[in-house]
Amino acid sequence: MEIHIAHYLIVAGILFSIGLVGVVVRRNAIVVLMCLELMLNAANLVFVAFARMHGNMQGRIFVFFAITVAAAEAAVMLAIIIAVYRQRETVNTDDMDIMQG
Amino acid sequence: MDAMNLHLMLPEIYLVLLGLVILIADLYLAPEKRFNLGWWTAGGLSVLAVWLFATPTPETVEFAGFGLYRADGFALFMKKVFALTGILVAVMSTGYLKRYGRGPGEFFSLVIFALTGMFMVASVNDFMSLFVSLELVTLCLFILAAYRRHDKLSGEAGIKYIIVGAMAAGLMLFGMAFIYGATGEVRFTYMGADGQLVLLSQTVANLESGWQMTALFGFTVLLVGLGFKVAAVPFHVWVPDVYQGAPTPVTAFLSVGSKAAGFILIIRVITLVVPTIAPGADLALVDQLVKLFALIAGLTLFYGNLAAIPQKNLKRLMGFSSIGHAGYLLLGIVAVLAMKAAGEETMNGVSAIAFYLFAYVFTNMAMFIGMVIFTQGSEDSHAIDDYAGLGKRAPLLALCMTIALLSLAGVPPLAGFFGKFYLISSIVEAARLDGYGWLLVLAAAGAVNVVISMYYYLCVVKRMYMLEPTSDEPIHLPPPAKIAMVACIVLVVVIGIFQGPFVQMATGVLATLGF
Repeated sequence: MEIHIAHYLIVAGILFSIGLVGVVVRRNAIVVLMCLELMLNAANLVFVAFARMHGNMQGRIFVFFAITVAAAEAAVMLAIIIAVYRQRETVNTDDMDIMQG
Repeated sequence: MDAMNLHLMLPEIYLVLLGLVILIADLYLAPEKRFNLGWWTAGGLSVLAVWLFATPTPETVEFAGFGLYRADGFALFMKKVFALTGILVAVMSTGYLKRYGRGPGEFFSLVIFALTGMFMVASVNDFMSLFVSLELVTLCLFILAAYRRHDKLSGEAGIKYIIVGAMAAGLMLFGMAFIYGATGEVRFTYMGADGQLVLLSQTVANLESGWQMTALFGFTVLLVGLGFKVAAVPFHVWVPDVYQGAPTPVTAFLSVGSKAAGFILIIRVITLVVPTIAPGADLALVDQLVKLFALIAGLTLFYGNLAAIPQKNLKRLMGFSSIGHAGYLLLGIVAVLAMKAAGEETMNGVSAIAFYLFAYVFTNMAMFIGMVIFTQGSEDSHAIDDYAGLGKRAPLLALCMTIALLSLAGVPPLAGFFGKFYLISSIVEAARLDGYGWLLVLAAAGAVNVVISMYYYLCVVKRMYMLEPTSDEPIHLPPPAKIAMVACIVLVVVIGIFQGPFVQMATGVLATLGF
């Protein structure tokens, strides 16, 4: 079977949806972080697939920047998760409910 | 276009160096002197502000960084706004951090790096620089929001902000990938094969209809991501919690800087990437965006202002009011989009947004400086009831906060009134177009919301003046914060009464916007 652009997009769409749903429904902050990474990587896959289709470099270079930003984001998020864990001994996002209304 | 042109990026280079100087100086200063870094920051940013105000508005667009970066009138205007925001944040943070007593070096360098990101945001000319500079802003703000790391509220604010912010980044990236897929181009303006400057919007306009739908999907997802950044309903859920939990100076920075950055990017995408439809051509793409934005703007206006009414915490109230103000700013976006859908390149909506943001900086900052002074740098008395009798305890503070609240509500002749006036008149102007008469409903919604917001702002004023004080403890007004607050209030009144030069400044951005 020949691999077409649509195949890449379908895989990316599935990855992105898993990520988005995971961010919304999962309660463990670490799992949420993993799901966020999944969303970013789905977008990277779309970029690379389209870069191949258009035959230019812009999409591929964009992916380098996106990966770098994702790494920085993961570092900051883990740091905040650790700070919160030290206060409350939990990383369950359901327990972060002091502020409401 | 194909040159580095580093001299255009000097403000950003200066900011990065300033941030590094603060970070290194923090290591060498004695602990009790470290809190003076706030004055270093304010001083360094004041030099930058003077420099920017002395720069004449460019007549043409210039490109730097091989087309990743553009220097034009709108970028310069927004950089002025950001520099002033940075100065005010530095002034109000200094006393606050002294009271909190931890690490001023990191705090101020993070503020400066976030400002660098905002400066880059003002000058984006490429999806790549858009993504990276916006992430620079938000990453710094995530850390700042969670800065009081032993405080449960601050930690909660940080984690809520980063989950929503990172999700928005993922959505934006996904949307950009599809716009790239449809057009094969990530630059907003670039040299075509024949040596002519090409706008990405022209490329989008020439796509066949299937790829236009791909681009429309990309725009929608990208604008949803940006909607999170500007706190548009239904992407606003993080705002009240983050505003309440973050340290007060950071809340002030968020409410002005982060929101302005989001609106700049929406304006850039709309002016440079969304096509202007020629009369008689297929309207689908842009017309859908007009309807989408009109709906979001209406919801944002009503939700922000109605949900602010029952609030008991002033910081949280400011969060909802900030959602309401985002609704007003979205009116300008709807006006620009409607003009584009009708094939006109009139962008009065953009100059109205620029004027509104300029006025909003001083109004909002005066309010937050007042809150920092009132709470004496702690985070435990933000209940609106605590402000009872402030008019007797500290008349100057109460007067300044009252004027700021009246300007936020939109009482003439203060700056906030004219900001709202220009935005609503831009939407009325757009309603004259064929098929867009229904936009008048949106203009009416804007006017109705002035009245709604008047109610909850005046409830705060009422507590300050009509009720008896609950405590006799005197309120100490530290001179720098007092001067900054009074200067903001004077500017709010001056911008309201002598608008001429400020309106001229705001309309000056239009000449170089769409190229």
